[in-house]
Amino acid sequence: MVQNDGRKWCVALWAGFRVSGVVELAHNADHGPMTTETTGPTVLVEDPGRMNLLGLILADIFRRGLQDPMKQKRFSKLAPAVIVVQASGMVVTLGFEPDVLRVTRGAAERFRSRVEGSLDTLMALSLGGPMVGPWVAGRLKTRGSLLLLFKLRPLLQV
Amino acid sequence: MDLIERFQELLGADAVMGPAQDLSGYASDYTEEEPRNPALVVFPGSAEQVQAVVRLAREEKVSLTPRVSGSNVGGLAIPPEGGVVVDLSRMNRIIDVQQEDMYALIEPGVTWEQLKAHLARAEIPLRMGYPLSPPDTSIVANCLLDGLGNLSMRYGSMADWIGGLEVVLPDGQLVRTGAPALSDLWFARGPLPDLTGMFVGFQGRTGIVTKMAFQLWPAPPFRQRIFILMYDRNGAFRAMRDLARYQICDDVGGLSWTTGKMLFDVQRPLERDPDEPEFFLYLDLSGASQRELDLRLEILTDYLDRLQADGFRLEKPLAIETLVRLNPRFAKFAEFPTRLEFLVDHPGGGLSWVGTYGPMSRFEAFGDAGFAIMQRHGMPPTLVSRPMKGAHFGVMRFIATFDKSSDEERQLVRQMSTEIVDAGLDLGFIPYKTPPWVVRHIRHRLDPGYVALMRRVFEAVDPDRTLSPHCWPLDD
Repeated sequence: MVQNDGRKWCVALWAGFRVSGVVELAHNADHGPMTTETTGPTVLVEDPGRMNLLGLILADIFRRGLQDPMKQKRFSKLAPAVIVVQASGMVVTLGFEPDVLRVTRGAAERFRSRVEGSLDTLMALSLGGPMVGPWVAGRLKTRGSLLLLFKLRPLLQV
Repeated sequence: MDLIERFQELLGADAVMGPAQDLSGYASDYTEEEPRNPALVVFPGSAEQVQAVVRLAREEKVSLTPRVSGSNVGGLAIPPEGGVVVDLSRMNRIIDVQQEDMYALIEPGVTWEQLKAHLARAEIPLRMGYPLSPPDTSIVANCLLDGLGNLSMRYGSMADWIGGLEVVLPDGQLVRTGAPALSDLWFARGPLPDLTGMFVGFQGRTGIVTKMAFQLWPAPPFRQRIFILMYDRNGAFRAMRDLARYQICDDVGGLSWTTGKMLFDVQRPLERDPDEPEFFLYLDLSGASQRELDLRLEILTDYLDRLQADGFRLEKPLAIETLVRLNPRFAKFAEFPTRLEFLVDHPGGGLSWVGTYGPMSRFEAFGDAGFAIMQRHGMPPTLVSRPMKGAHFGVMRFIATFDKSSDEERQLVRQMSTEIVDAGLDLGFIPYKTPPWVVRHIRHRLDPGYVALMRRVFEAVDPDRTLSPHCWPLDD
């Protein structure tokens, strides 16, 4: 496919970022938690058959990212923490425990941070887009610890 | 001399597989169809050998079932019990590519990936549309079964792409249809009486095709593939209809929400979060220049703004390159032909679908009915749809993945598919690549005159029922 790099349309916003690698997911046919054997922390999707697209995308980003020792180090500094992420109505809870990230559909009642925006805005963040600009513009809403969200951000980036 | 020896004498020992070898790969396909064991598998290498095989089979009163990759998902390539499979995969020559007249003359074993690589190597600026079937499947088979590809919105279903055929009839005679009946170039099915139609959709009952002209199309140098996440499938159907009429896209297709999850290895997505996108619209746009492509994208943007203004919720369009950066799994949709492992290589290995062509004016109604049926049976509502031939009609394909080793699941899939067929027929949707079980189920709804004519064709062309006698079972 020929790229039309000069175009200002949807491509430019996220151009120039690299994906580090792929980790194959272990499939669990009885719809138990979906886990992956990695050298880093385990990413566990609760009830994958009912998980929303946001949770699956985030879990995959974490799985791939957590192969990186630098990100593993950052991960260890996050736990224990509960962060709620909402994108275009879809909500997931990220439960950071030592060596385990638990992804659950819906919002936990108690959390340390919550971030909310459109799917576009959150995808842009994952692809290295700025956090402050969308936050100032109101496209990204946060509650709770901002510091925790800043710590989370590098783990969300592909 | 027994049957195997006679075929070996015709074709050579290395071109015949018999009971001493494992023929199980020829006994079944992806679907819930019960396996049927062939007696022999033969591998002709030329039209002359196909003629000889057909004459011998007629003499020996054994059936012949042509096949290439065996990926057909309707039981068409599974022979009747004890029949002979004619594996055409060795007849895989790309005989000629006529760049000026835009067609490739190919044998039945030529695959999508093979012709694509050939065009790329020779730097021929022509392209074709690709089905969602794996890259190693046969172009000729898809055309003869009137399948579809990702340029079918613009150029019609695959039978429309045939420029002429060379066919071995059930009595062994070799004939040409279409332009090559009179011309040295295989440029069109017409203008003579369209005898090519006698071999399209007949599922091998009227002859074995040994050569086919496959029409190709200009490949614009500037292209863009885009995904749009939509929160309402009816909005996606409307967009498909509208965009097909605007004629700014090469392709507009849609996948239901389950496919997005299957891509992430969730084999059986059970429930849709009400707040997550319901349909993924994918669009291909192209232009002879960057300016042309930009103008098409501008028209698309304006249209999507209007769609949103009408109350349909959608995300901003995403270039496929962006999605691949976000997650390499999306590369499965970046280049065609592609192998969608989540459909064909999952645990359990079963894949079945009800594929229909029908009126786009009733997409919403069939979508509602099909989704309800699948959910009632506990199956993820997986749907692939696309406008065809400028939206004169469209395809609605309900797909089920299942565990082939489970009798219960196979029965469930067959029951569910039967209900979907009925719901579709009630709305005017006709199954394509019609599996024999579907023919048995729907034949009472066919026009009686049509059925009588089909029988007369079969009787006239193949009175001994040598070729694919299990297909189009109108008499049982």
